[in-house]
Amino acid sequence: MAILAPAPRKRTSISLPLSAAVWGPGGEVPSKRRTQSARSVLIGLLSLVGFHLGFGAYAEHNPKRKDPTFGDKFDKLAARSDGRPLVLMLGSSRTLLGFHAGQVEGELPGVRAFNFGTPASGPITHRVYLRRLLDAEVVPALLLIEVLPPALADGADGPGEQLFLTGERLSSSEVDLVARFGFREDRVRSAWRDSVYAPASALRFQFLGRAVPSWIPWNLRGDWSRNTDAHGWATPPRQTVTPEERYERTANADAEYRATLAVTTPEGRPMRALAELLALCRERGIRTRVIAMPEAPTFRRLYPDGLSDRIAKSLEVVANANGAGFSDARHWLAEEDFYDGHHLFRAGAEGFTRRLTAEAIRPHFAGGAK
Amino acid sequence: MLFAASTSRPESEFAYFRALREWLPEPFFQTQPFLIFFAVVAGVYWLTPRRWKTVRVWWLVIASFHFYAAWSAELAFLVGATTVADFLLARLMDRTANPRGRRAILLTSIGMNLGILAYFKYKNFFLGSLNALFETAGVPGSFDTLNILIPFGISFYTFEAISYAVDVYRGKIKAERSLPHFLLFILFFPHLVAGPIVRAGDFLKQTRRIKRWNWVRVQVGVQHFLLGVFLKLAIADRMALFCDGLPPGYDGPLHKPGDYSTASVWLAVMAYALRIYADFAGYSHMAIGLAHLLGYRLNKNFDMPYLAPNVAEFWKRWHISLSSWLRDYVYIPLGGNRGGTWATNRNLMLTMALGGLWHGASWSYVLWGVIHGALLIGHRQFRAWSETQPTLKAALESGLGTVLRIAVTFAAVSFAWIFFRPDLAGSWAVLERMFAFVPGKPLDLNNRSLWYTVLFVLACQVIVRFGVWQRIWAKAPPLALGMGYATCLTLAMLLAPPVGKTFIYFTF
Repeated sequence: MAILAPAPRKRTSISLPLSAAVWGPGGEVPSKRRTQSARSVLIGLLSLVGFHLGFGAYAEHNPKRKDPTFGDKFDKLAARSDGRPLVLMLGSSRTLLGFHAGQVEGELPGVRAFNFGTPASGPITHRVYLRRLLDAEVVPALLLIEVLPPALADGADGPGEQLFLTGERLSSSEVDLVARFGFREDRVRSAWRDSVYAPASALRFQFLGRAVPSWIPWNLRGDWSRNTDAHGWATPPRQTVTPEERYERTANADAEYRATLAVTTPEGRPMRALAELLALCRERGIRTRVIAMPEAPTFRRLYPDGLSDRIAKSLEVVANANGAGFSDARHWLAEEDFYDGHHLFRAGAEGFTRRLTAEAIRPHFAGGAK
Repeated sequence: MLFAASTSRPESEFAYFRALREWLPEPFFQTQPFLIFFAVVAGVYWLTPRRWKTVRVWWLVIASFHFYAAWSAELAFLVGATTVADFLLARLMDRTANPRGRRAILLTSIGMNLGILAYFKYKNFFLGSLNALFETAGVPGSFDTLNILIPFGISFYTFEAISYAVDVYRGKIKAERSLPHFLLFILFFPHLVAGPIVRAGDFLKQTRRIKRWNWVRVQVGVQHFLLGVFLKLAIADRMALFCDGLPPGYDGPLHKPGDYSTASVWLAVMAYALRIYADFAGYSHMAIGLAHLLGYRLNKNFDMPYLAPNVAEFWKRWHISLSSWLRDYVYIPLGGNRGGTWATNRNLMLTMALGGLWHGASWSYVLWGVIHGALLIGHRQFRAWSETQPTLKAALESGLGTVLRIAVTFAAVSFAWIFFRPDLAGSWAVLERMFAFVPGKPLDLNNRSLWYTVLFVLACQVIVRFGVWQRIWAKAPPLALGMGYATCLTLAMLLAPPVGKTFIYFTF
């Protein structure tokens, strides 16, 4: 009888099937073997600690590795460094899809333009990113800063941006910076600590997303900045939507943003971050312009009464107070230029970029670059 | 998820236990809170002078109680109370000379343990089945099912307690005289949640020995633990992405097979076979490793089961502590293979059906057991017939024939895993899709990592099977081994998917 028939009981090894060799005939363990075991375990422990601390320290000083959304864009920007004055636009996914930087260069060959839009980012993220860029000695001649209105939300638990700009993407000093703007320091510090002391776990998606992207779900790869053109601009694979799809996408935007817009205020801590960012630019002599991106009529209806205008007014005030310009592009485009009410198709991006170049960029270079 | 997380349970009334739960929220060995808990337990344990061995045993009992109480204090007291009752009943049995009295005490002990198991785990199943039966007969079912929490590990420690009572009754072992030793036998936290099912004869003698720090044992324990962590994080949880789908929806091929192509469902079934092996073997290795780090030995629970050339061999390699328990306490008492072909086949079928029911209170688990019973009977008949066919026998025992037998066994076992889930309707849906040959969604994750993982596991098993790894282990310098350990843990951490999964066997 096979399976359940009584089998003679064997002396069970205390180990894996692989370690029977350690035991001598009488069950005694030679002292040399004991020493080797002790060394193996201790070397294993030290290697583990050493590897993690080394990897953690490396990542701490290389924000590109900790934060591939930043790193991929930075690498593309660095690859196009050629001495021409730089027009850089910081912003959210609206910028990522809406600012066709290559078109700017076509219209103004004397300047280098780059789209540094990253999804779900607001003034606090831009503040962090600008500091990284300045540390790397990337100083734009003209900095355009998009402010995503929902990113101004500032509830009792802190700004909404903290859900996306998580601690493992930051360095220690950046943790201090975001904590000043209301990020929950215990949470963000804890995630940062994990990224330093256990990077194999905390930074695994950053690593796998670059080494073997097919092994992890697409939304964890951090591919937003990798899948752009050389100027950092991306556009949807399809350039049309059916009325049903538009309805569904607009409904999704409604579900995503209506509740957030209800707690959005132009007086919160993200607005302070914007003011500080603009002050820093002024101090460094960087010409700056704040942009309110285009929105479709359906999207504008999501705002509580008067909020959109109050935000625009506040942006203008804070920009003017810091010597920056302000472009209110909210009404520049029509419904069909968007695929979900606030993200642009290629035609919309081209239209927006053309007007932005004419009204906001060209005047800055009127004397030199054409 | 096919198996819901087992961590939703009511808050304790006592602040102490609520704080304990915050400190140790999940009874999972690979989590950071547990590792801190273990470091504290092991540190105090080894720093206690070894001549105070009873203190050490009590310390482990207290730690084990807290490990359980962090999950549910009330149920920890229940488990503790039934363990004390088992201890006292066995002592009474040992002192009773009258065979009838001994038998009555044995039945009391078994009845108590099975009664608790039936109440917590099977009550709703039986009541639900009765209701369904009444409804089939046209009478509305009127038994209300209960929303009760099933104590984790109940199937495991119930079997340990029963085997202890039976062994004492049979005179195979003497009743344990020390309460802390007996408490540790049942409550020892490395095996408390999901085995391996330990036998009193193997474990109790270890509690009496003086434990000395032994680096070889530590190394072996670390190896087991790391292997377990790797199997769980890098293999089982990764394979779960192909079966369960991706968070937050978890609408994978085994949940919504109708959305997926036939090929995707086949791949998901293969991934599930690998997942359940890596999940349970991973847990068992971690348990064995932790026990070694405390100076205790738990028996091997898995021995490369997917390299088994037939189903009978598979059951000698899969969940060994359960299959040997069923053999010793069910199959042999039923008559084993002593009563001719029909009786042997009947005993096999009954044993496997009971084994299926042990896994879960659902007809699908019973069906899973029946399928394995049928496979075992089929194998017995085929083997008997092939004995009369020398050419066929020689062909099957050749190298190529063995590979073929392994592949057929793996396919049969993987097929049976389709029913290894709580809902029978879900199993039929998967089966229907597998043979519909229709297009549909591909897997949620690129299947390249599925194939690489399958090949990796296969290669590792072949390397161990042919003794290559044993030779490396014996000859490799400490530097290579130590760095290998660090690499293993680092890889496990790197490959862990975004959301950790509960251990499948925690729900049994």
